[in-house]
Amino acid sequence: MADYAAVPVQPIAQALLTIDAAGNPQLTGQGFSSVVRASVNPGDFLLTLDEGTSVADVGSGGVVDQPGFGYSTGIVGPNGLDPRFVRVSITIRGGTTAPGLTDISDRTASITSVPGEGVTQIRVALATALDVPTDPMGAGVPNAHGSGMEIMIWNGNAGPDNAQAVLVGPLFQGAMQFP
Amino acid sequence: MTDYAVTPFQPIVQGVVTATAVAGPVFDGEGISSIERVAGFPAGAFLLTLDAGLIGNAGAVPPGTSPLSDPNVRTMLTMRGAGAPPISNIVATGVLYVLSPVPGVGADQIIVTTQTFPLALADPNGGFEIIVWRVNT
Repeated sequence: MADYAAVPVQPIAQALLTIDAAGNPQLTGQGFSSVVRASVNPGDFLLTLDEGTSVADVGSGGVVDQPGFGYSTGIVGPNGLDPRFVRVSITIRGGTTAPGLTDISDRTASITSVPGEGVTQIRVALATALDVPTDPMGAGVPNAHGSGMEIMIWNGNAGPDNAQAVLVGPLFQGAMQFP
Repeated sequence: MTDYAVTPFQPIVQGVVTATAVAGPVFDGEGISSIERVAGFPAGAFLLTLDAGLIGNAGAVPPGTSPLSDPNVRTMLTMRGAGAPPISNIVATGVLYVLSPVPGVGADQIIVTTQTFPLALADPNGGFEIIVWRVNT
């Protein structure tokens, strides 16, 4: 495969967010430990990433105190993503209005990082085209707004940061000289 | 690479959809065998049929409890703009997974809807990009 990529993009979490019959949000997927409503407004959800078991596991960020990776202090992790590299995709599933329409227009993801911890939570806000906060479905059933919300999260720089290529060959013989 | 992944995202479709009133929708990419307008909707509703695939391969995604709650598939849609600046006329997009009538097959078709403002079905003036992933739940 041609090497187009500057850095690997690593998937870390995916889920389908639905609303249960009691009106509470729930997630079906992997990489998230919980979801709650972030405010009294509908369509406002706070998703928490899995905590992970070590600095090299799910939900983890870079190595603690590794200069140049995250904050200016060089501190990121052990359980958060570097805020510079969080990438989010949100898609609304169509609802009960044929042929599968949704009136949700605004799909916003916001992240807040904690010094020394990184990003462990993603706040998602949904609203209609008239900027009215809206859940992506009804309580336990699809409605005219939709039938749920898909979310995927990537780490946008899963590889070594600014890695230096080691070039060896006739034009690059700094490491070894032949007679 | 640090192992952040909890699950692989397996891409099964990627492409660009463009549409004109005369020619109808066109899909350029991989993973889709045909595209057509949803019957009865002359604009802003597209029915994409997945490649047939091999046994046990992509071509359908496992069924969920209903076509509306299939947990095994994710889609990303990005509108392409037109003009200068290239602004899209689309403000709302939706995706639905259509369950095959054949038992056990799962969803083998995808409906994508695009609406302008005020909300009304409309073709995107610059088309749209679509990526579909199969995920493990």
